[in-house]
Parts: sequence; C-alpha cells; structure tokens
Amino acid sequence: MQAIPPSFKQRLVALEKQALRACARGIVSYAKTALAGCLLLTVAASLYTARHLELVTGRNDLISTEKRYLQLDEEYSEEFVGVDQVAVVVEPQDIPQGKAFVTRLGERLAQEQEHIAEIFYRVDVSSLEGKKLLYLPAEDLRDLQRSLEDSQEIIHELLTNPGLNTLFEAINTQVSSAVVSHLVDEFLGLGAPLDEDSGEFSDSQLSFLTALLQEIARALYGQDYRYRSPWAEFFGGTAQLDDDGFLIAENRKYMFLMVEAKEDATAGFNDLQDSMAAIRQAIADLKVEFPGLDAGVTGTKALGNDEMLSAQHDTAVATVVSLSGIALLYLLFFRRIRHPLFIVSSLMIGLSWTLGFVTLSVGHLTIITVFIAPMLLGLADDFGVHFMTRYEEERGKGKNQAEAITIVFEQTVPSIIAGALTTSLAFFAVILADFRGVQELGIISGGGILLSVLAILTFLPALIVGMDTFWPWRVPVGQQTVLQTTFSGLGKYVERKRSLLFGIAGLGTVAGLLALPWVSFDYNLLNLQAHGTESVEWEKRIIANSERSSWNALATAPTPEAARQKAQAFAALPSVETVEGVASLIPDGQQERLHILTIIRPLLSELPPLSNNPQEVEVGQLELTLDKLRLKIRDQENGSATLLHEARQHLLAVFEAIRTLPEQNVQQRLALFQDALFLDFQDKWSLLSNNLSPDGPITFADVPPQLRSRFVSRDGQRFLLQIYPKENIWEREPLTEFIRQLRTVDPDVTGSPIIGYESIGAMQNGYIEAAWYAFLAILVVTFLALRRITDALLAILPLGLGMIWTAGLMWLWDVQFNLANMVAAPLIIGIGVENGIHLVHRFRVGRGGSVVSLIAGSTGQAVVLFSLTTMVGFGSLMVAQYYGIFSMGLLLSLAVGSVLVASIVVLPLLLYESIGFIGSFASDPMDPINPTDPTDSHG
Amino acid sequence: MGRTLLLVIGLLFPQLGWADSPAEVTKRLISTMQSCGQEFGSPSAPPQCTSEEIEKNLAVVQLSRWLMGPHWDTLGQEKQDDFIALLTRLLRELAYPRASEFLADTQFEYGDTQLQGNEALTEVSVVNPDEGRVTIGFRLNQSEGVWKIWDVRLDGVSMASNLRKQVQSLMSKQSYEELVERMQRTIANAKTEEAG
Repeated sequence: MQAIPPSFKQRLVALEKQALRACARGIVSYAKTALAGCLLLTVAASLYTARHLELVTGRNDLISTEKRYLQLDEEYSEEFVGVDQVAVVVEPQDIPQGKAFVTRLGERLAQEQEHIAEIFYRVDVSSLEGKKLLYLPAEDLRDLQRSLEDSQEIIHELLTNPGLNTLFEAINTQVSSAVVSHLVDEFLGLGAPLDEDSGEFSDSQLSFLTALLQEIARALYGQDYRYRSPWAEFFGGTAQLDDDGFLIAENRKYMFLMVEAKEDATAGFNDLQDSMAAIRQAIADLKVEFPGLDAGVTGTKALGNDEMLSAQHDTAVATVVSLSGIALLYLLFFRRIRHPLFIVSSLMIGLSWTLGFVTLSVGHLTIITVFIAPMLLGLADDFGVHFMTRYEEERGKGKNQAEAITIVFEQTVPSIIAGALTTSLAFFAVILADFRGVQELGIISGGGILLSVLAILTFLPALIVGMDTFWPWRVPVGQQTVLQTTFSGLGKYVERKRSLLFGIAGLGTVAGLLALPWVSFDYNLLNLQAHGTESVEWEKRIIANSERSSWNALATAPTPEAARQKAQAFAALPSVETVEGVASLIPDGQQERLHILTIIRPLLSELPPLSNNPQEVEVGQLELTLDKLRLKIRDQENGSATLLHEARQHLLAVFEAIRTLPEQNVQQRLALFQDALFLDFQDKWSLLSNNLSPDGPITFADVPPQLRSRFVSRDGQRFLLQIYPKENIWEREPLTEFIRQLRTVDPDVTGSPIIGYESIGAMQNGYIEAAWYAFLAILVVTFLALRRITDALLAILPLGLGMIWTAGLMWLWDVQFNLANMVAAPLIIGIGVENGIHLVHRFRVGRGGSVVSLIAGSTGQAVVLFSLTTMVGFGSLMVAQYYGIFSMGLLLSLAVGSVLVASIVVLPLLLYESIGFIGSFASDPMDPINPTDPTDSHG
Repeated sequence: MGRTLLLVIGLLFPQLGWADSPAEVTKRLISTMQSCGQEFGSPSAPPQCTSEEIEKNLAVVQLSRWLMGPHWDTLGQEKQDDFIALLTRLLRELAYPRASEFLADTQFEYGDTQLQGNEALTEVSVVNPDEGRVTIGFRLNQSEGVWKIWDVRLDGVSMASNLRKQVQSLMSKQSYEELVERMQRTIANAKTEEAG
C-alpha cells in the first residue's frame, strides 16, 4: 500500500511543530547561555537608549514637517520676535499696582539669565512723543473734542483751582445748566438745545461723575484703598495712551509680561520645565508684596509645559500603581512569588529591548508614545501569564521540567505567537495612517510587542530552567487550588444561566448600538488638562473676560501696504475680533485725525495753564455741594436711567459716608484721594497737551524697535499679522468657522489655531484610519492563525461585542472621545482580539471539553488574569490629574472589561452551542492543529 | 418838621413807603405757590391760587422784551402784545403748575437780598431732607416803585438767560413764526396732558 504524501499544510504544521520542539530543547539545554545572551542584549540596548533616545515636546512634533502651515509657523517663529512666548498675565487691583508689579517682575526675571532669554513688558514710546493722539481712532478723537467742549468750565476750574470742592462745584453748575436747559427746551418744545452753549450734561460726563463718586466712596469706606483712575471716562481713549508703554489689555483688567524662556535640551522630556519653574517662583515671591494682585502664566508654551508636567507626573504615578496592581494580582492569582517575579523580569527585559528598538528606529518619544512603558507592561504580560499558567498546569500533571516546557512550546506558544503577531500587526497597520505621531505609535507598539514576546519565549523559559537548580519548582500535585475552584464555579454559573446571560448580552448589544450615535468627540484641548492647571485657568479667565482666546492666527504680507490691505480684509470677517500688525503700528486715516487735532487745539489754548497744588478739601462745603447734586441727580425714565441711577447710588454712598464716618477720617481720606486724583489729572492733561501738535503723521521710523521687531521680519521683507478671533476657538465650531473664513483671505494662514485644528483633525483621522487598518490586519492574521473563517469570526466576536458595549458605557457615564483617549480605538482592537484567539485555539485543542472546562482551564484563567492586569495597567492611568490620561485609562478599562466579559461568558457559550450547527468543527483526524496527546484536557 | 418831611415824601413817592421789598415779593410768590400745590388751577383750589395772583409778582412784559432782545423792536406793537400773551399762557400752562408741585413739600431757608439800583437778588435755599437742596435765586427789577421777579437762577444758572439764548437762536436760525408755533404747540400739548 502506497503512503499518501502529506499536503503542504500538513508539512508546514509538522515543520512548525519540529521548530517549536527544537526551540524547547535548545532552551532547556542551553538555559544559562540563553540567559547570558538576553542580559547582554539588555545591557547593550539600555546603554544605547540612554545615549541616543530623544524626547520631543509639542504637538508640532507629531505632525509631518512637510505640512505647509507647520513650515510657515516655524519660519515665523524664527523671523519675528515674540510669536511663541510665555505670557505672564497680571490681574492687579489697579493699573499703578500692576505697573509696579510688572516692573519688579521684569527686573527679577532679567536676573534669571540661565532660564530667561528675553523679557518684554514695556515699550519705549519716546519715539512717539508728540504723536500719541494719532493712535486714537477718529471717532475717539471726536469724542474727546466733544468732551473738552462740554466740560470747558469744569476743566477751567480744574486747571486754575484744582481741588475736590471746585471740581464738584463746577459739576454742580454744569448739572444745573443741564437741568435749566432741559426745562427751557421743554418750555419751547425743543428736542435739544438749539444754542450749543446752553448747557447739557453729556453721557460721558455722567459716566465720569459716576466713576468719580464710586472712587470717592471706595476711598472713604476702604481700609486699604488703592486709587483707580476715573479720568478714563473724562478723557476717553486718551487715558489708554497714558500706559507708559506697559502692555495692558483693552478691558484694563489684565497686564502682560512676555517671556522668551530658554529651552534646556538636556532637561529631558520637558525642556521648559526649569524656566517655567523659575518664572512661577518669581511670581510667587513677588505676589506676597502686592496684596489683592493675582498673576500666572499662560499661552501656548505654558499650556504645553503644564501638559508635559502633568503627563510626566501622571505617567510616573501610573507606572508605579500599574506595577503594584499587576504584582498584587499575580500574587493573588498564583499565590506565590516566583510567577510574578519571573514574568515581570521578562517584561522588563523586553521593555529594555523595545526602548533600544525605539532609539534605533524612530529615535525619540513624543507625548503619544511616552506611555509605552506602562502600556507594554499591560499588553505583553499576558504572554508570560499564558506561558506560566500552562507550564504550571503541566507540572501539576506530573510532567518534568523538560516535558512541561516542550508541551508549552508545542501547544501554547503557537497561540502566544498568534496573539502577539495579531496585536503587533494591528499596531504596525496604523503606520498607514496619515499622521506622524500615530505612525510612530504603530512602529513602537508593534515592535515592542514582538520584542516582548521574544523575551517571554527566550528569557522566561531560560529563567525557569536556570533557576530550577537554586529554587526548585514545587507543585501541590492533584490538589485543586482556590483559583481553580473559583473559575470552576464561574464556568458552572455561565453554563447554568446561559439563557439569561445570552439575553443580557443581547440587550447590552442593542443598547450599545443605540448609544453609538451619541458618542461624541470633545475637541477642546483645554478640557484635557488637569483641573486647576494654572495656565488653563488663566486662559479660561481671559476668555471669560474678553470672550476671546489668547490663541491668534498668523499671516504675512510682502509690503506694509499689502499688510494693511490684508489686515483690513481679515478685520472685515465676522469671526475676527481684531488684527494686529503694521497697520496697528501706523494707523489708517491719519490726515483725518490730524484735522481733528487742529479743532481740539484751540480748545486747550484758550484755557489757563495747569496749576500744581490742589486746595485743601473743605468737607462741609463739599457736603453742601453734594447735597445740591443729590436733588438734581434723580432716576429718570430715559436712556440715561441706568447711568443716573448708578450715579445717584454712589452719590448717596459718599453723602452717607461723609455724614457718618468720623470727621478726621473723612478729611484724611478725601485729602489722600484728592492728591492722587489731581496727580493723575496732571499726567493725563500733560499727555493731551504734549500730543496735540504732531509734526506730521506717524511713520515707520517713529515706531519703537521693540514693536517693529514683532511685526517686521528680521530681513525686513515680511510683515506679520496677528489675527484674534471673536469667539472662543478652543471649541470646535468657532475654530472651524474662524479658519474657514481666514482661508478665504489667505490660504497660507497659520499659527496655533491652525496647527491645533489640523493636528486634531489629523490625529482623529489617524486614529480612525489606524483602527480600520488594525481591524483589517487582525482579520487576516486571525484567519491565518486559526485557518477557518468561522473560528476567526468567533475569535473576533468578543472584540466586536466589547466595543459595542463600551459605546453604551460611554453614553451611560458621559465619556467623550478626545485627543488623548482616541488612541484607545486601535489599541483595543489589538488587545481585544487576543482573548478570542486563545480561547478558540484552546477550544479546538481540547475538543470534548465543556464550557466549564474552557473557563476554568489554564487558558480561561490566563485570559481573565491578562484582562485584569491590562485593566489594572490602564486603570492605573485613572490616578492621573491630567484629564486626557484619566479618560484614556477609563476608556481602555471599560473596553478591556467589556471584551473580557464577552470573552469569558459569551464566547465559550457560543463555541459549545455552535458545535451542533457548524459542521466544520467536526473532528478532522488529519488536522495537526488538533491535539494528539490524549492526556490533554482543559484542566 | 421831620414828620412833615416824611409825609411829603410819602405822598410824592407812595411806592417807596408801601411797596413790598424784594424779599417780601419772593416770600409771597413762594407762599402762594406752596399753598396751592397740586391743586393749582383746579376748580377746588383756594382763591389765591390763580394765575393773576402769581402774575402780580412777575415782570412778564419786561421778561418778554428781554428775551427777544434786538428783535423786539422789529416785531411791532401787535406782535409784541401777542408774544407777551403767549408767554403768559405758556407760564400758566407749564411753569406755575410744575413750580407749585415742586415747592409743595419743601422747606425754605431765606437768605440775604442783594440790592443794586433797581435790581435785586433774593436767594432761597429749597431743602428737601430726602432729596437734597438747591439754591434758587430770584432776580427782581423795580419798575414804578414795584419789585417784580423776572428771572430765577438755579444754583447760579439763570433760566431767563438760557431761555433768551434759545429764543434768539431760534429767531436767527428760523423765524419768529416758528417760535410762536412751537410755543403754541407746547401749550396745546400741556393742555392735552392735563385733560388726559
């Protein structure tokens, strides 16, 4: 009888078996050599890593450098000063306090040469002397003109007899004129006085009176009163020109100090950490001396720094928690020290090889890949668990060391390799995604899995064999452990309640499918940050007070004229709040402004010169004047009603204070207030007087160099525009609209909003693409590993169910996808499929068993242990303060947990239920995958 | 001899001896208005609450002439009379009722009277404990021995001056007819409001 030649498949399987046996024999025979080789490689990899691995920061490092907007942004950062500086935001009680603080802080930071490259907090405006009023828009100048015309009598009194008494008497006269004028208008049926000198009290005057009374009330009542200028209401925009070159927000609430922090290339992952710490320390030291003042840092760099610090801190904590949790689980599971010690040692060896591989292949870690250590510990430990549990199972059956290792290699290692290949291929597949950060994640994770499994298949068995001499293996032969009893009970429960469990699983799946449309993506990067992070809080505070973000977009033009035109085009967009650039340095329409100044000039020339000394406050007389004002300033039902009401309330407060507070206090506080008020008035009046007669329009030559360098490139060939949004562009919709509109003017617009928008989009797409590629890869690899479509589909089923259930849980717990936790999508696909492969493979080799034997056997135990350790690994990320990491930990824990339940409950039931329906499960004696060892069972 | 001299003087210049002083004229006007209060002009008002009673203290004719300034002589007698009548009606419809209402619940502190020839200024502080105070200056002119009020100053701001400025501005920029029409319209509106 002629023998039938074996098929290619059978030859391949036989070859595989021979190779695995050879490996087992080799490891057993040359355990010490294998150990030495592994350790040598570890030392070499560690040294190489320590010397060459780089840590890159910033989201820009995640994007391909070929992107035009990124190239432009980098060019602008080099060509223009201050594009990407750290912003110190100061919220003083008043502007003088803010100026004092900022000056002190600037001086202090100037000494920090090790950490600070440049400080910018005050512009030397001497070159603009005489022309400052030309910075006021024509409308503001007209308001100033009106204000000066309306208040000629008051100003006359302020100049000749400065003092609170004369000021209020002049105001009272003006108010009286307005009252009389109003009566006369009514008498003659006029809407408004025909004669311009007939007297009225304008809204700006009323605003000034309100501000003045409010300040006096504060001065009288406040124990630690700090002067705030009420003259802004009187002089209009002129008051803002009196900022001495300090950087003050339009709302007058914040002041800024810009810092170019030095980056320390040797500082590791966070190269700004020391500089930021130095800035924060300086702020903290100085704040003590300025009660009531608040200050902090923000801006793109500060946000990035805080993000890195949080991530670093959280990763360190998470790694410790993860390792401790996994070790504890191992101890509970194995009830001995050897197993966790051996597995963790092997994982550490694999990790060092992985880092060597990362250094060799990618060369650096990023914010995405920095979590490689806890991630690999969570992902690769199952290989060790499967190996150890099976080895223990065989030793428990009475097999000696060599026999047990051979069986593990023959029967368990194929599924370990299949699982590792599947996972690594899933990760390698993400390289196809069009996003550099995700591509690197794919390379590092895929390579890391393969190297980890290599360590498990070489170092671990060598360690088992090598250590056996010094630390002999002892197994309580024939004695059922607590764990086996527990898993056996679990298996029996699943088998007994199959209908109920199927029903619950079905309901969960329907609910998950219904919840899918509600799962959304949170685009706001601020929401990723840890609650209470200083830079985030300041950013939010600025947004809340100005309704605009500190983010600004950048564009350039080749000439000042082109920059002006482009600025106008940007400014006309509905989503643009303001545009800063050369146009804001050299204002438009200066001829009109010069003309208005010629009208204003005579108004001042007719007035007497400024007198320096305020008269002493006569409190009784002041009270009398205020009493007269009290009668006239009454609530009315017209447009000024709110202002009138406010003015009256403050007037009553002042009146009450004068009548009730001790006379000496009133006298003293009013005197102090009067001094501050008139010193302030003198400053503003001088500014006005000195800038009324400019010798021509503002030209480029007049612009202070500090400002010029911010908007004109170093070679003078490009002119920068900084475009601020009207709305909070940390939110996706306003950001999308902002960028869409900007690109209608200039497609090459760039800056943090554009990079953020593009990188978020690219990352999101990258993760989604990666998930699809990973899914396709596991489909192929699972089929190749199990060689039957039905088996492959059953192996993937827990992953599918787990993902659907996760969607339901996300809806239930209000968890959104975000930039940090999106990585879970490709990860869970890589991780989730392993359970199915191991269980389906074990089901096939242990044909004839039951649901109970599959769950309670070593494979079931290993699946549970692996999933639990993975959950602990990822769950440990939930200790993070950084919300991005927390949400990643939460999402992955939910997903791994869901896949575990589907694997250990639904899959075994389906496997055994499907026997009767699927013919292909029938025994095939020629199928070498099926066990030939009749002693093998599920445990 | 002395008594005879006084009698002769008294007979020749009766107003010097019996005419009210500026302060008394002012007090009488304020007293009349204060007692009338919101009832001014109504059928139930006391007998003294009539326009005629008030106008005894006011120099409406003189005021009219002063308001028109250089335009006065160009108007002619008829228009001058019409203007005086119109101003009187305007005062009756608008000024007296509102002034009466304002003065109803207030206290008065009478100050000194400054005399300068035929001109006098009597200052009165109007005090309302809840609302505050205001100094009202009554400017009087003596004509034919009788002091009559022609201007009221609110904390030093002259109402008559303001009115004169507006009237003259209206005359210059528009016309006398426009001024009259506006005054008539104001009277009509006031009557409508009163009826409503």
